[in-house]
Amino acid sequence: MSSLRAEQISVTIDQYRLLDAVSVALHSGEIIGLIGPNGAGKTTLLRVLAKLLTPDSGAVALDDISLRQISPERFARRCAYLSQGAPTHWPLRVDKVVALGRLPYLGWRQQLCAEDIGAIETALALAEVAHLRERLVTTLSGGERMRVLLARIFASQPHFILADEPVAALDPYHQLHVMELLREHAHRDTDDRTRGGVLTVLHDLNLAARFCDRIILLAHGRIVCEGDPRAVLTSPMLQQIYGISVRSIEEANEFSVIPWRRTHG
Amino acid sequence: MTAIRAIADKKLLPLLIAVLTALFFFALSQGPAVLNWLAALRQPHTSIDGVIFWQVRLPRELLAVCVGASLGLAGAALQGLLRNPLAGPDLLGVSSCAALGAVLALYFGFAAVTWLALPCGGIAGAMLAVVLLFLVSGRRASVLTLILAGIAVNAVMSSFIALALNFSPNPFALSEMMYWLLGSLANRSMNDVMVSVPFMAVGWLLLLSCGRFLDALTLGEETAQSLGFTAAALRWRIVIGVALCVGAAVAISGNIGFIGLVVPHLLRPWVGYEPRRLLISSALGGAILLLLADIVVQWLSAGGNLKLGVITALIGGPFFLHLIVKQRGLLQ
Repeated sequence: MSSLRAEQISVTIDQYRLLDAVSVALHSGEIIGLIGPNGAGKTTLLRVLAKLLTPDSGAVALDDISLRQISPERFARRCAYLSQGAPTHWPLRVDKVVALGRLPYLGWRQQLCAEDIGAIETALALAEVAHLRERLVTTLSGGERMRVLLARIFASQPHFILADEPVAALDPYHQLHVMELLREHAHRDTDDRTRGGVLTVLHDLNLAARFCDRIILLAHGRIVCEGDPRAVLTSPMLQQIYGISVRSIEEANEFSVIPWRRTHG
Repeated sequence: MTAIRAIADKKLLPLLIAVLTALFFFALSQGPAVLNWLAALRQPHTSIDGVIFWQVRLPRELLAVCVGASLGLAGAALQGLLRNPLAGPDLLGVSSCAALGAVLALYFGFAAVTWLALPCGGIAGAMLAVVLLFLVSGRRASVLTLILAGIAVNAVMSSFIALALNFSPNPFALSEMMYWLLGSLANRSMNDVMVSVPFMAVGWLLLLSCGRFLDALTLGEETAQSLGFTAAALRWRIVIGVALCVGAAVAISGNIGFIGLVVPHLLRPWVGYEPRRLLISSALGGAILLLLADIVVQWLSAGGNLKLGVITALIGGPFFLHLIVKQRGLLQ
């Protein structure tokens, strides 16, 4: 089974302790929701896992090989990163954006080969954006655009997807759609070697409860609680960390929480 | 329109190459004297035709091609790196910094010591400007910050050029100043070609090798890095490539404006906005535009007093205004 592990990660920037001895492990076959109040260190942790930020102490390992020993291209083929807000600076065609996902495979080749084109087509179909392929990415709606960026990630055929707030600013329909696509990535294959894993930063507790196999709750640079959504998203815990009261819903074996009221200040 | 775009998608490069070749030979045939080509090719050193062809026209047009290509390519690379269609080596002050470097090398005697001094002065100036730009504006600079920084750098460098020329023991300081500020390809020799083109060629190779990184930068710097690119190293490669291209070009031709701004912007829709494909087409487009401008200059001024930069500014200035109007939303 593949894994992406961070052990005892600490990050200090300008004397601020952003992460303090945080350890997480992402395995294939699971989707983890990383939640926590603003400024908890969620994005910093994701960047450390994505090899974008070198921690001051601690180590990250992919399949028990230290990230320092893995070349950028090799790592890019295994782990894909969806940045917060995910800008697109030029009005490229949708299929060209998705083709960018093949960059880690190109090396010195000038042209896409049959395998690249196959991966791009599969990715377009998976993210249900094949019909948009000739549109310019800047003319798409927010939901369509996010699906195109997900297709770009699928085109890299990564094991692990690290996504930073992929559903922010999307309407409910597209929020559900994007979360379904991410969960699919982790649950689709039954073969442990090809099965993917997802770690996603979320602010929506309801989506986190419904779609994630495991929740990691981060506050002030430390992991406060970790485990099954029902075990983490409890009323006392959320009151302590977020300062809110919640309504929990249990329906047809599915669990959900809705933020209800502020309890402090 | 989409059908035209589809054809352009495949045929753009051959088309640009064909236009460039045709213009090159047309430019060679232009000039005050009517050239006997056969005599020029058969007796390069002994006939008048030969001397005009080999020592006047060929170096001039070769430089027009190489300088134009360098400026177009550097513009496309800068716009890709900064993800900003308003970037250009001249607007950002890179060209005027290069000009100052060359002026200092030339008028304070370094150029007399070694022929390397002139292009190296230009390259050092260009390098300084790009690094300065990064320091002043930071990595996530807004359009406005960049342009304002460029205005400041341009103003300071132009005054330094004037100052340097004033202090130099040179009776032609004023006309020389016009040359450095507006650019010209008149009276260049094969020697000038040899001195500058190798530097530009290295710059071309460096910039062309960054195409895929520029493609990836479309999705932002972090995503580019997550796609397997070492952003810091590649950014330096582009900075050095731009400095070599612009520095060597300006050292030999003065500060020819607007090519690096206009050409990438005109060609971008025809390459589907892909930064990598824009590089090579902007190089060809820059060469074409500068050849055209040079032909116009030769037509308009038989005496050779009209500077090349006047023509490119006449084309580029209004174009730049048009661009600003279109980009107003981005600037606010």
